[in-house]
Amino acid sequence: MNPLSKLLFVIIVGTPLLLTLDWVSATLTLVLEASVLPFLLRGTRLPGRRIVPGRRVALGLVVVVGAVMSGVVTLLYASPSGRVWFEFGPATISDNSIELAVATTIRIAALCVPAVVLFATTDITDFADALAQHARAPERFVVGALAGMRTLQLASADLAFVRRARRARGLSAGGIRVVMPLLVLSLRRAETLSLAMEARGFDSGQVRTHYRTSVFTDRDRFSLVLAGVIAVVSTGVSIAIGAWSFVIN
Amino acid sequence: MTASVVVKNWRWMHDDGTFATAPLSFALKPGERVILRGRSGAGKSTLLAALAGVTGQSGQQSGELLVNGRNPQDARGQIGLVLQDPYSQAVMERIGDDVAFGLENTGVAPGDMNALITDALAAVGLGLPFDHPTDALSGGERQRLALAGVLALRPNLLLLDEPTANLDPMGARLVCDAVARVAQEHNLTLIVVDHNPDLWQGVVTRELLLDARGMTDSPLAAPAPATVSAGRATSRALKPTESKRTPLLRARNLAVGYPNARAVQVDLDIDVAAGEILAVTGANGVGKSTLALTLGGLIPPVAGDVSVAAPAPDGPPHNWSSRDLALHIGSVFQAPEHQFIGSTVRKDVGFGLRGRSHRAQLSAQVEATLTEFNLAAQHEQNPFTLSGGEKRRLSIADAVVMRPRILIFDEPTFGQDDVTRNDLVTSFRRLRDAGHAIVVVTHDERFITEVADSQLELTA
Repeated sequence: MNPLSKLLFVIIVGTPLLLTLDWVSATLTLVLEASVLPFLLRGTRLPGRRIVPGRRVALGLVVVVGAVMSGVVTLLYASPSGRVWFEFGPATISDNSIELAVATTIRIAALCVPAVVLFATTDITDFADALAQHARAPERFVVGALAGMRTLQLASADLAFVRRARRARGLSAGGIRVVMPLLVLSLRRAETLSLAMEARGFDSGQVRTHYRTSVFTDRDRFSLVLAGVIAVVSTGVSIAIGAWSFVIN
Repeated sequence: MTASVVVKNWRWMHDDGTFATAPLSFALKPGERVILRGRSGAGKSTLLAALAGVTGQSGQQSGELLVNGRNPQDARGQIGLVLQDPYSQAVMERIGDDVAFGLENTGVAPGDMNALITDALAAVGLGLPFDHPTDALSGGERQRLALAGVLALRPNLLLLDEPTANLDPMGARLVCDAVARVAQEHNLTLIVVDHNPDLWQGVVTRELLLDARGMTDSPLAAPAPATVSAGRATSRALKPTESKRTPLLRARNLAVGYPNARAVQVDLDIDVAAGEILAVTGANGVGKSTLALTLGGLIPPVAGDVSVAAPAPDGPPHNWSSRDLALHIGSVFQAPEHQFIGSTVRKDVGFGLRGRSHRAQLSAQVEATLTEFNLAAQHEQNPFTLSGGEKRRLSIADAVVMRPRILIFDEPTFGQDDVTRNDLVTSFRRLRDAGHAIVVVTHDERFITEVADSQLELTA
């Protein structure tokens, strides 16, 4: 799948969920996503390791914990109505807050699952290619962001050294003072990189060509149709059975 | 496909009105290959950047500087520039993409790129798949990738700014060979800045020397006598320590490795006595720096023991407080900037002493150390603004000022010019004579011959 269609997929599917508070549309969206995502990602390799090394499990946990925590907060602090089940200071559990809590948990899961899954299967270079070739994003910005990612990786290696050097000099390893050497080193690295990029003709006014062509296939077009269908079906069903609850009310 | 270079009364003026160099004049015929030498801070990098048509720093140039009769700024991409730091020149995550980067910038048709990338990678001897991750390359491989990136553009002038300064002898040799091959094949004009002229023997035909007075131009002196290879042969063996004194620093059955990673060296037995300099050598990646960090108590050993002769705190060094560590073992890192703390040179040197000595004693000790390392004139300067050689001297002063009995150095001569190198030799001899036990990780064969008492060669 083209990274750009992944991004559009998340936006199309997610927008209705940002407009409503009900659990019907959220549940429908989540179920439909779960059924189409495996098909859409069939045959996709997982280069996400480079973006979030060894943290795929952690990312999954973040989604679950985030969704549940938002649910708990809603459960305790949503404005009470209907039967009140529990009360302790400002925290109240009522029929209304239970319903809202369930809806919130499902909604956040429905929003995050495709975002995380699609992000984790996206190669950052492919994403940059797609942005530059299909979304007409400025090359300076796209390539600059890629180069920035690289200096970031180098900075984390520098941090380890700075911490050890501080210990060797009789100081605590952490603290705000590690910032200065890190900053100086990163700036110098960035300077070298930009010099090397410039010397290789970057940003010289010449129109760039692209080594890898970012392709937009039928599967991409189909994924966007599916996204539209998911958004329409979940919204439609929710409105039809009267569960839709517009967020600004 | 080759370029002439004409420089006439050229100089670079920094924004503050000072000049980077005296007015320079020299000319290169197409296909001529020269080495450019001079002290660090002499303006070599500034000149190279200007010849590449890139603006590394703000300032103004005056005089004339022409490549093939044109302003180099109009010929970017046709002039190849490779810089010193292997770690900050790759733009892309995969080596194929990285070589393609310059081709994309100069508008090469995508269909032609694969052939150009294959040629460029083959020319530098990097026979790896295009999707090989850049991050998995060694320093020497990275430099050859950077070279491939500029070669793919079919440059007519190649500018190399200390391309081997951070590499082990093997990596440096491979980079040099790759340059020699492509320069020959494409009849490239070449300017290489390097502090190690022996390496480029046979590649370059002329030497340009840049100093405060300007440029001196000389045909290359006769090749140095073949002491280099002789030194290499003898230094391979581990010389037995002559001294029978009890060691200050000792390690038994030591296995070293980064935390959460496998051991890179096992079963090391090391003894370093007071007044002894032990050189630790071996190719990149065999674990020299890891050993230095372990002996310095900065990472725990994977197995085995490190101990320091009394008087010393209890337990192995990696369990000591950082305070104790600084008092007994001084570590000097590869990149001096990693260890700077103070906002001025004086404060930086005095940092470790704070709260320990009386004011007067402290200031006397700092003063003595500043003088010892020839930094008295720079005492009010910010450490980060010092020249390369000054930074190196300051990083050593930082460790020595605490008078720890054990000193550990990681590649102190990397990227240093001859003057600084000679200063370092003097400093090392003085520290040894003062009774320090010294461990120095180094690739520098000449340095080993000049200062080391014993050698430990690590192999994979």
